[in-house]
Amino acid sequence: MKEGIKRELEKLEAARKRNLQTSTRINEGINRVVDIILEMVPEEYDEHALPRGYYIKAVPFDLGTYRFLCKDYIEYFDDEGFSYHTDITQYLNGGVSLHYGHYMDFPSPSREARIGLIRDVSLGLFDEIKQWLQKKEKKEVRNG
Amino acid sequence: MDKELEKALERLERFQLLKSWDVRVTEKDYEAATIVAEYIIRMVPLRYHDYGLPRGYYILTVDYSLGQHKFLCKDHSNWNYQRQEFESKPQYLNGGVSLHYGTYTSYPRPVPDVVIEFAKDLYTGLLSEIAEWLDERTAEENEILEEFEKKLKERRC
Repeated sequence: MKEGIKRELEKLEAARKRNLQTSTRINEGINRVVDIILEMVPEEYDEHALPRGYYIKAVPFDLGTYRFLCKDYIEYFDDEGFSYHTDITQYLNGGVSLHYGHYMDFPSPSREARIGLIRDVSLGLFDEIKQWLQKKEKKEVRNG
Repeated sequence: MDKELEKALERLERFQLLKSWDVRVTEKDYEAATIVAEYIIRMVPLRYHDYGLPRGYYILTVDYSLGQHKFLCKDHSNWNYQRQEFESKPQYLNGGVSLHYGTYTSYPRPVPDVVIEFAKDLYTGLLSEIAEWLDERTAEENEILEEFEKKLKERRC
């Protein structure tokens, strides 16, 4: 086999390794952010719309309730010439199967959703959630 | 390096010097193309599988009864005499299978021209281009991650 292609294979494997390190950093980052947000937002605000389209979905299962941080993303489909779009829920702490009578799958989020969350945190998502919570509390105090 | 992959690449090497009308794509060539296509699919991280790769290649994910199957594809245009227009059809480089998901769907082998084109692409820098493409995605993500990690540190302080 030619030396050139051998070098290319090595180059591709090295690129893959570098990408895996980034992938680990992304996954660790996502886990930390999801934990912070789930801790920040009290359970009474589950199913409320949080800033930037995020929301918390509480799912009952045999051992209690599992809270997912979610965001809906539009996906386009092309089916034999007919194109349509639907909202697909991305479970940012997904990738689990929960048993409640039968197993329900909550798939891992897409790359778009993961990068989106990281970008949103960089742009101040934590502060926005904090402000949103303060507003909610003020409203509740006003309404008694 | 994987010996099977090495053999497959050696097998596809001969296409570089030949014109498409001079060669016959044999069973073994198809097998070699499948091995290399599956290697490329393994090398591209899962989260980029809906993205277009260099030189028009892309990875298609297909659901079937036992999970998901991945195909390395490239669209190939052909003149349709009945319709009198060019028609673009996906070519499955690791195709030649029928998958069951309610009904059987067949994913045929690519046309010989696409195998020859794939072999030529491999020897004219396709793997390098995929590596560079991957590095670009990594750099983009690292840039976003740096800003993000700064924010997380600020929060802890």
